Amino acid sequence: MGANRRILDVMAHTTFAHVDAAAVGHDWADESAAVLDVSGTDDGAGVTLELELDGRSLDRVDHHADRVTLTNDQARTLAAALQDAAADDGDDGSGRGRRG
Amino acid sequence: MVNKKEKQKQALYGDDVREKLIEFAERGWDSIPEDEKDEWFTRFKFWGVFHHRSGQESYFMMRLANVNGQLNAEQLRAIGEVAEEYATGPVENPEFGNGWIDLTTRQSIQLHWLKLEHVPEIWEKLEPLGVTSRSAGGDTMRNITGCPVAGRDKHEFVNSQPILDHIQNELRDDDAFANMPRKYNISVTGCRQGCAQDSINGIGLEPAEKKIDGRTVRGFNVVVGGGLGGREAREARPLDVFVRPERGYDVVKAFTQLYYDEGNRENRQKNRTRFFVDEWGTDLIRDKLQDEYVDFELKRAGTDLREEYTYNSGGPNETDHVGVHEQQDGRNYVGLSVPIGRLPAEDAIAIADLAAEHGSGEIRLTRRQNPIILDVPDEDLDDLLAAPVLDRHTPEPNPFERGTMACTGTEFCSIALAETKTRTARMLRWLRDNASVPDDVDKIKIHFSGCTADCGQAMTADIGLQGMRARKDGEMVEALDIGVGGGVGEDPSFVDFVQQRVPADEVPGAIANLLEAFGEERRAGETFREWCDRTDEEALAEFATPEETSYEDPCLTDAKQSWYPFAEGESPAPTRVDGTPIPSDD
Repeated sequence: MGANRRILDVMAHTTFAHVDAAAVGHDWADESAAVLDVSGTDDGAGVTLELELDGRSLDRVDHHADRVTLTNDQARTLAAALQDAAADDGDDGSGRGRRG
Repeated sequence: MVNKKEKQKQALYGDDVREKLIEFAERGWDSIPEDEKDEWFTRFKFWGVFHHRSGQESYFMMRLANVNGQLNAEQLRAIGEVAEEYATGPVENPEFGNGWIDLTTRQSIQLHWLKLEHVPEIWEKLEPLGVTSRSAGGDTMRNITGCPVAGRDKHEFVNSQPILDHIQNELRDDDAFANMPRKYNISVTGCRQGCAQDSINGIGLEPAEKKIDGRTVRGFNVVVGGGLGGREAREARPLDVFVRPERGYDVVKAFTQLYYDEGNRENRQKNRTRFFVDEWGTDLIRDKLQDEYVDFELKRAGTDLREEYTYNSGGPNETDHVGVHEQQDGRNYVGLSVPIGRLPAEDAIAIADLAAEHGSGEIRLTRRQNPIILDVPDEDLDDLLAAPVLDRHTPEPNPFERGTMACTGTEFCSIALAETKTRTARMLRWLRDNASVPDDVDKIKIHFSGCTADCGQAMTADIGLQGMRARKDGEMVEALDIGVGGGVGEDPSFVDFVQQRVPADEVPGAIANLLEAFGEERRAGETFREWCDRTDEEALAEFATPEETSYEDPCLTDAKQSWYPFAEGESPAPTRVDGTPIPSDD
């Protein structure tokens, strides 16, 4: 349904318009490019993390987006974990990053 | 809790912004405090003044919004002169040079590369002639759209021009309604073609008739809560209200007041009218309007004319106002085709002169980014059609020029992901020389939006393109999603995306492949939309196989977004009024 119309907005301020991703099950994986976006909630109380794999790449699951809502503390913990885990190899240019 | 933008608007918005803008203009770009730029740029939008994207600091776009795209020769000439004098940037566009205007999908005009310091002068030149930028952006009533040939169309059902003027003069000009919850679109059409595309507006009046007291009365049905935008686009929903022309204004005002009063001012992701209508439902809205917002009985909907709608319909008799058409009074209107809506200033002036010389001077802009010259007597047609400027903006364009529209794109827009206008100009030339359509197909509508906000209306195209990203040869590149088979008309529907993340240099090849299949597979007389409707999505995807060709993309690898897609080196911005760079403090 929805004919692969993107569920998430994809704009210059989207965190990543292109990341590699996969939907995985016990014995299968649908690999796909994906959109990954981080945004503050309007009320400032938290952070939303959203992930959408391209609809046309999916065989095993319906086209959809996943959304995780984090408190600000959780967001900071995640940011620190990402920082720790990341190898320092720079920006791959797939997004301009949300500003402000 | 109200959001940040709402707080900024509460502090100052609407007509009061003008004085502050003039103050800043007099004192220069530097006078806007760094930490207040965001809020002032939000407010300037109400006056149609938009700061360009990052890398182009101190440069602005101005949108001129004349109701229903109405202009006269004097006005268009003045706009052209302003573009020549002020709309000149630090770098020339490789296709269009410097000094041009963009015609928009809401019958408006946009000027780029303006300096803030020049805005008051520009207003002084345009406003005495009746051209305004007020309420052209921000959380306001945007330009009111209608049938551009209202009052002239030979087959018109009911003349909508008086209602359009009434809405403009009393509602849109009313400062009390300046601060809407969000951008808000109104359209009124009285023609049989559906050319204001009511179905994608916040409120639309569409032509209808109804038997009242034994007499058939012509008027309008009311639809609400339509809008594009890749995320949750909506067709406007019937409010089950028929209104006579003399009450049309009252119903539009009533719904506007209701949305103003009750629209969500907390969550900007959910506060367009389409979400308001989702939340309330049309029954409740109708009841509320009847009980509290109008003092006459709302009649149930009449019989609409949607079956006859031909504008952007994708059907066999699709119309678009391009070409020579006879008017009610025996004179003619001549619809020109401006490829991708970008008109060099000297051409705008030449078109204004032609309108004055061969017509009444009246000009209209359509929702397909094209101008129309009105009131041309038969005896003037040959001379008009022979004018050199019509070689470039012809009333007899090829099928690709005729069908193509594009939003602003990364050249200036802060939210776009892809360059649109220049890329489309090159694609058009390549398609003209390398792709073919059946002889009886007079247009293929390619609508290109730089992102999912879909200002270029990709969702309602034959072939809709939206900006994305892909990886090609190890490098991040500008890419496009390709959707097919959308249209408005009687039965609006949105495109199905059959290819995603196609590197931009492979898109013309994909389109040519798709059109080749269309030529081979279609039934006699079948339109592109009809063919898509009956063709399996997987087959369409196969037909639209991306392919590298002789097409050369102007900015494939600009995915990191330089300050200007066609410039080498560092940005000179911000600059002083004379264009020299302002050194940074640090």
